[in-house]
Amino acid sequence: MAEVIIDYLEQSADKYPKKPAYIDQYESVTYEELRDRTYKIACQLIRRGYEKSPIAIYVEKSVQCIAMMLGVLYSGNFYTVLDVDMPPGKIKKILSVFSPVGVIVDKKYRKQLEEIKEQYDFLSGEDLLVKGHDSSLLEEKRKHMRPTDLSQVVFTSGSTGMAKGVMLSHSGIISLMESKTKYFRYNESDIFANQFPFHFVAHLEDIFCTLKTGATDYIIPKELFFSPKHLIKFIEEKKVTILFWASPALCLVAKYGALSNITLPHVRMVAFGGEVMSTKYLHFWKKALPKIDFFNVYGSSETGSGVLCYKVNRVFRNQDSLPLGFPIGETDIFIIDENGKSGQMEGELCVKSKQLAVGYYKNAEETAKKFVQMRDKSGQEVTVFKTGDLVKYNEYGELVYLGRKDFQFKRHGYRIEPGEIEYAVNALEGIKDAACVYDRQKEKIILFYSGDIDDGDLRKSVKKTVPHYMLPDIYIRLGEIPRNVNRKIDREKLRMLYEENGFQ
Amino acid sequence: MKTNKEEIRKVLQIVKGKDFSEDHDLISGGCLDSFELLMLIQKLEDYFQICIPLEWISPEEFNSIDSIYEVIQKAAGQNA
Repeated sequence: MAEVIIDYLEQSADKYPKKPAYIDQYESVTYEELRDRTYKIACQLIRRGYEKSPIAIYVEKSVQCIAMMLGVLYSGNFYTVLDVDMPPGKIKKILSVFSPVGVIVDKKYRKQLEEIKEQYDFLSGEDLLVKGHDSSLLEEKRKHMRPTDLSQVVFTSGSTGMAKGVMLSHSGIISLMESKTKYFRYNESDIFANQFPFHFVAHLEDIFCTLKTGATDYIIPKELFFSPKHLIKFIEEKKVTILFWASPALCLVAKYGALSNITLPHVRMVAFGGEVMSTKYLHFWKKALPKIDFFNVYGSSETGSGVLCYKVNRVFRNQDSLPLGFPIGETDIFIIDENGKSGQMEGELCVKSKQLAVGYYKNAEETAKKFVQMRDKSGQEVTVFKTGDLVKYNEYGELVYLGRKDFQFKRHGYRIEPGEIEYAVNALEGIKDAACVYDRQKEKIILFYSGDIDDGDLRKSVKKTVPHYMLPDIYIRLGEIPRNVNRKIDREKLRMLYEENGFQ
Repeated sequence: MKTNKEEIRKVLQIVKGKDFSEDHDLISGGCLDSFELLMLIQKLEDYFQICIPLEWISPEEFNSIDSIYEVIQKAAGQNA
């Protein structure tokens, strides 16, 4: 029985030493090689004196990045993976909250980070691999590891302008690895094709389940998502058996029409999550692969990735939404009303799970708001995460998603708090006030602003601080941003203004 | 069919906003993500009344206004 994540690396490396574990466009590593590499990295980190400390990883999505992640865990520290495509302003914010003792940087990306002249200890990924390992150092470290230790922090969009980090423990991730392996019957003959970025919690679903089962995971080259035909060919050639992707990525392939005349004989299941899956595009997939199972998976960073799962078992019309499904693994759900009373048929979804995050990194206030105590059916006090998602039971007794309690929305698989964009825009010179709304139908973010600033200059400045997936599409200048009596942004009025004027 | 590069820029601006001015490294430089590329292709097809075959859709073919120009010329030739 594994206690910490790296125990699974040991198990798989003992059982399947020569089997390829992860493959990217540059290289392929076997379990044995991966373990060896991980040992080296860990020893270098231990020699530096890091202990149960935060380490940032600024390495592109690759086999090497996985080795760094596991190396950090082997050294008894915890990490966060930074997105190499994120603007420096956002990286800076994350690092200021995370305050890492070291930042592991690829040679290739060193320049990008040097622009953010900060006081961090930069470690080159290459340097961590030059020296051999020392088993006694590692054995000593392992003795002091506990399942409750932090393993990683996942940063998500926060409404206050501060980066919000979700803390995941070893035991939470182990619970995910075990319950998913059992539920989906993952095994050593499976071949995954990774789509989720490593700074997203959902990468745990394929990257970490691979580690546990001794399967093989192909990290799909990013360029292939611009080349749908080649993407499908890749899945076929690599004999991929499991697709666990963000819903928008599956839709993308369907929208291009890349699914006609395909067979993909090896694919045995398709799972999707991150965002509501369009039933229209699900049909395309089901038509192309009529014999396999499709799963809708619900979860978030705070729930340590997927906690509910729905196996598509009937035909849905285009306007129907897919159920969120039922709890898997050691998970329970509660539905509460506005007064926090549980046992409702409709209300806010609260999740209790062994997978649950420990809370928000260095943010006790936010943690106390979202991770609350509740009594379960037997009267026992349990910790639940208040998801902010409004749900209800449909006529089949299945849970369906109704919308958000707050203003958070999702676009192209990314979770976005309008507050984060507003905060960044408000910080710009010449801006008096700013507010965002989301046009769900057209998938456009609309930014309203007031102040004395040129439209073009504003766009350029916003680009420097806001990640590309959060960039507003439409900019509308107003004399004043409408606010209600409590000085809160009147989003309904903004929405009306946008619709009435037919801004495009 | 007459295509000029200014028209392609116009379509790019429909997708990326009215002051978008890049003309190369559209994909390698991170200007367009995979969803925006899809949107761009649909808008190009509408605007130029062409059909771009799936086989031609790759990051290289859509990385610059020049290469997009080539794609459109080729597609127009095929559809004619």
